[in-house]
Amino acid sequence: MADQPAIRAEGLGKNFGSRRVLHELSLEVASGECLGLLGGNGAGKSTLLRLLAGSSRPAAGSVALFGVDAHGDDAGAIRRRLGFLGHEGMVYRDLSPRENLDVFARLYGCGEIDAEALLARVGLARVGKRATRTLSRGMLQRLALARATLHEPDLLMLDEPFTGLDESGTELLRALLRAHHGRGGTTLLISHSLSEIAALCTRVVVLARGRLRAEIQPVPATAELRTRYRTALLEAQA
Amino acid sequence: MWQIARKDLLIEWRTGEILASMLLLSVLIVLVFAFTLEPARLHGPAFLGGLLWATLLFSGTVALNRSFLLEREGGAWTALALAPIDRGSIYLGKMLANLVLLLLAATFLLPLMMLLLGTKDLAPNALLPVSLLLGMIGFAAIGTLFAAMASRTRAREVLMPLLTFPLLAPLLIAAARTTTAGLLGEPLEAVRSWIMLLAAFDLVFMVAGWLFFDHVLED
Repeated sequence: MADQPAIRAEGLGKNFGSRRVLHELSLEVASGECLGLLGGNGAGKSTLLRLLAGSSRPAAGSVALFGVDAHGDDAGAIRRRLGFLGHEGMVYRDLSPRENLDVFARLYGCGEIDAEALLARVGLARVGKRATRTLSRGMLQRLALARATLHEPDLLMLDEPFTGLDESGTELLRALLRAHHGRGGTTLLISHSLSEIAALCTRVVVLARGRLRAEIQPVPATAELRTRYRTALLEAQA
Repeated sequence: MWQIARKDLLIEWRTGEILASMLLLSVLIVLVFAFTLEPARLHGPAFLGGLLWATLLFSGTVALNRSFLLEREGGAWTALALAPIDRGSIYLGKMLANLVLLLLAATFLLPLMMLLLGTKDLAPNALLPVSLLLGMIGFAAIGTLFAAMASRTRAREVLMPLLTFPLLAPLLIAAARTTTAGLLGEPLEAVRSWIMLLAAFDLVFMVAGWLFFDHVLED
């Protein structure tokens, strides 16, 4: 299992009603890689991420995480190695940040955790006992980050993780992702921030109208990445 | 399972939303019964079982509907779906939390109904808590499963009763009959078949919920 790719998707398809949003999409992400996923609004990025994570079932095709079917009977164990951050915080608004981390630590089998240290790591030490409902957008994003990483996953799937973060939060996330890579972790990163993609990713794929349209590797500097991204989108529209 | 139930009950302890809405609706329904049905004409507890379960059906449906709103809010539903635990145990945990809330409501409701609708001829025996527990387990088992399914739709408040009421009919009949027997102090032998029906109903729907929740949880 060690030499299995972190993600292997083959022939993925997804429909919303009669509308096809993903078309026979195949993708492989090697262990230790940081893959950037670019695409315009409605391209199918978030849908793809949910399919890959296993929270949404594909209409066609298959997904394997570290060689294990993400929708199969053994998927529970493999989800232990996955950290997921979506558009929403995916936390309970009526619990405090500390209680949220405690709940998810138990669900992930982490046992007793040092919630204070985890909150301090994302800059939320002062608001640990406040109701999560009262946190600002940026604070909620920091808490979501702490939740997604508290079990030290091997694979991170992040959907617009920089949204709502201030300068220090952005720097914190960059440092966290670099540390994750330092440990050999794998990342699938969706972002509209080309500068962040250029700074962090080792490979980029472009999704448009539910299909993978281009692959960019090695990842160039931001300006060059922007040009090649736009070219890929124009080619997809042609 | 215990972690999910613990989390739901902790949230309810903080907000009190589900229990408050259940109790308020229950009191309202009981008051309507009390003012429109003359206790003297109710022949004591013979009606009490049916009225209790009718009240619990409506207030419980509201509660069950709300139990998945807290998962939908803020996307916690996805976090649960991605947790490395058996998804059937999520169902059982949610069901257990709902069961506790339904039992709390019944514990409050039964004395209130006795007070307002009369206690003449009451001779409760051990059959009463047994029938309430078995009935509540079945209600929570069906309600939790269908509340999860309905929570994925915009018309969940309408869909939930439409889906559950037909399925709950045999359970409610059996529960009302055995609860009345428990209130009247009838022996177990008199309602043995109803008790067996309740137990079988509970088992079937708990297993069904445990098995199907995996598909309910995934989009």
